[in-house]
Amino acid sequence: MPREIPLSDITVYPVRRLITMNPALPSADAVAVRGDRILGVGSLNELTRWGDHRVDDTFRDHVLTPGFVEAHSHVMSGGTWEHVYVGFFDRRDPSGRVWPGCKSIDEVVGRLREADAAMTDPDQIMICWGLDPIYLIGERLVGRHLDAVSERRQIFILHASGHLATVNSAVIRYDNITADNPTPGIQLDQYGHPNGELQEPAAMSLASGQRMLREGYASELAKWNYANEARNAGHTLVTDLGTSSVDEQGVANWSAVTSHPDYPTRVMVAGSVFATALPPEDIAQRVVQLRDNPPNDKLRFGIIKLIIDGSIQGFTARLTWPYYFNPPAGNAENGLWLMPPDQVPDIVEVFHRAGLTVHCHCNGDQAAEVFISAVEQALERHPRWDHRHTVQHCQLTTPSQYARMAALGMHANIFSNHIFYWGDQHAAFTVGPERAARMDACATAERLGVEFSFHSDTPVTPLGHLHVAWCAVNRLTATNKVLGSEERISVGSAMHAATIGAARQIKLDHEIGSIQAGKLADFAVLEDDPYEVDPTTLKDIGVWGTVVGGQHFPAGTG
Amino acid sequence: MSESLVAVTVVGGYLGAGKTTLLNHLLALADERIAVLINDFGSLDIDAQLLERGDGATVTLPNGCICCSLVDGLATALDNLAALDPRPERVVIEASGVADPAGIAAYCHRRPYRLDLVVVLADVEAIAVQVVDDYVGETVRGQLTAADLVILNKADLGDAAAAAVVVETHAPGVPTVKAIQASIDPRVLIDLEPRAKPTAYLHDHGVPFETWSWSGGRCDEERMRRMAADLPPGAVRAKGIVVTKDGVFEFQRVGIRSRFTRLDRALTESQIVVIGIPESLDSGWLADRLG
Ligand SMILES: [Zn+2]
Repeated sequence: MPREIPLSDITVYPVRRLITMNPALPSADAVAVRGDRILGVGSLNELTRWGDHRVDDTFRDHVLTPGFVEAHSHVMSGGTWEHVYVGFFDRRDPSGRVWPGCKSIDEVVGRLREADAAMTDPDQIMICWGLDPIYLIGERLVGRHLDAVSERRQIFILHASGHLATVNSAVIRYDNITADNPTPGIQLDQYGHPNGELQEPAAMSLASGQRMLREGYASELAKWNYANEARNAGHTLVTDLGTSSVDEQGVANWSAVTSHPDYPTRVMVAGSVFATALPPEDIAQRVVQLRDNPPNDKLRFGIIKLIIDGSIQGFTARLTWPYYFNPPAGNAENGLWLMPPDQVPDIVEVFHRAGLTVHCHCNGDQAAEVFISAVEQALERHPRWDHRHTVQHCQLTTPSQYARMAALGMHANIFSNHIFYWGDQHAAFTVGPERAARMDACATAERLGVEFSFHSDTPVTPLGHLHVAWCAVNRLTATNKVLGSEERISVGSAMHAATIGAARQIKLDHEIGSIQAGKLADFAVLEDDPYEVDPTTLKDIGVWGTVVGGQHFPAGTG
Repeated sequence: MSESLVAVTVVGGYLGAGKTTLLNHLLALADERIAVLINDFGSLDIDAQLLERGDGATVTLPNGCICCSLVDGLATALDNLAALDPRPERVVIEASGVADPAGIAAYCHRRPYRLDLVVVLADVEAIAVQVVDDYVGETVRGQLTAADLVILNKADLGDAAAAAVVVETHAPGVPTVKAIQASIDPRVLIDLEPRAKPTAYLHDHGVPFETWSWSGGRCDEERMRRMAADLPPGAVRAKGIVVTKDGVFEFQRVGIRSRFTRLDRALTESQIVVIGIPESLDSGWLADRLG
């Protein structure tokens, strides 16, 4: 894409409506940009008085909002697009191409045949993703279906859940996966031979395809794809929350792509004890250093990611009594700890004392309890103002916990997309109707004075704040039922969460998150006005693309 | 064939149970090339000098990543260790305090590894409270049931007999041994024919173990398998070669897991060695069943 060459120093954009998220001037007709910053907001007439300028009519019919800020997402979302998509739902790739969903085993096999024909090296492994067998009627897809595509080429399909893989005979042979291998999860056919289905990561990791997937998550192409997905959804900042290492190599890799002038988004990379073997003290020191000296304007640091528990839909989140509602037979009573709860206060204290903001994954309310208590203890020992420690996911956090968070100055980042994607399952199986109705409680956070944002956690659900906002505003499940009407929020609150609310919890709200003089010229360019459309169609608003630091990035362009 | 496999020892147990102490004992006593994988959040307490002497390597896993399917670091770490030249003869994995050792063990059947022993430590002072704790009770109980062997550690500080009852209640049939400062007979931890250093590293109050052995000619396969099934939990480790009319088998037992592997070798003499808690077997036990 050729870059805009400004005729003069100042560009003034008349627009259909400018939604600023600045309460002192919520709405305007035009915005002026100089270099990468916003020079002024107002009427066209007012802005021309800044002096020599050029008027750019590109957005005359569009609605501009602050660029969306995703404070919980992962770069591996971009990595998946190096591989063949075989999911049930239509999905748009970073280039803007829509891949139709595969509705049957035949359509899956057809997609694989096309991909096979397009690959020149017959020994290159084919990796596919997104398969969701519960939607495919009839027999279960197994290795022999894939053998019909190729007996020579290894084919590895990662399921949508991330917990299963299906492989062909070439993989079974090459990786020597045998029936008598004691690894749990190697599924057998009626004759006692591996049938190609590998359950859970230990068994999946026996296949080379799994290793290649792992390596692909960190690739340069993954980082570009990720940014293009962001651009297509109106995001001008995405996070990489705990999947990249902040060691020298990890930072150099990010620095290389983000310093490219056409890289279309800003990225905030969290330091994580899960992504590196560095001790917490060293991670803290590095992140402070990087926060104060960011490698470039599009690559930022300053937050730390911790993970305490698992997921609710996987029955691995840590809940308080009465635990799970209707779990599968043989399931454990409660979920998994990913960190010893007794150790959480020590780790939080290290980062708290270093002056960083801790973002802690707590899906269950027992996990939230551990983190909130750890923050409380850290504050007793080392009082500190404006830390903005954030409960991430925050799905079952109770009103009393929100009240404590408010008192402690904590923020919440709420996984609102869950209402649509798993809301029905939460009511029926995981936590039951009462607790499902109070999950992802944006309205409670607001009532109790907790500053909040919401997120997609891509690749767990697709990136895009218009969809997340639609979930928070309507709370409709996949079967179109309202789940917890009392926790719905207004469009205005959702817009706040999508922009300035998210910017605050990553401590970049002095630079991004609203449109006002002095801030970075980062905009989402929308085809319609979120305040004017029927709120049940928020997610369907078209996205022209973004402006990042004054530079235009139209959606679906490479 | 089995000689070229790398043995894996998984060391589990909740915070403070003595995992790192045990690891240091292992490193001090073993004469193998040991690599250590550590999966914990705190700072490293491993005695670096011991590692150097053992000619091994320490790989610190991305903290706690073992349970996280997104990162899947254990598979990567094991693959990387297997690529070392020279390859380690044993890998010891120190699990994080909340890791499920069974989940870790699940990764240890990949080429070129064989799972040898899952040892879980229990702090005799704390275990009774930990197993019923609302936060970590289920985690700790899961660790105990995943063990081939539970070490009742800090036996000098608490009631080891009561702790043994707690373990038996939640993990029936899993053998237990008492230890002070995680010090136990290296033959139990490493191998039956340890190339252990003859140092006085073992504490005087280390728990004594007894060995039993039998050798003879050809045995009956049926009787051999029944013997393996009948070994009591106190017989913590056993190994041997069993010659039957259908071929030669290598026999290995750790905790309550027995395994027979067919060997492609022409041998005529069978041999079994068992090590365990004193008086677990009487002197004629093996001969009665195999002779
Ligand atoms: Zn996440």
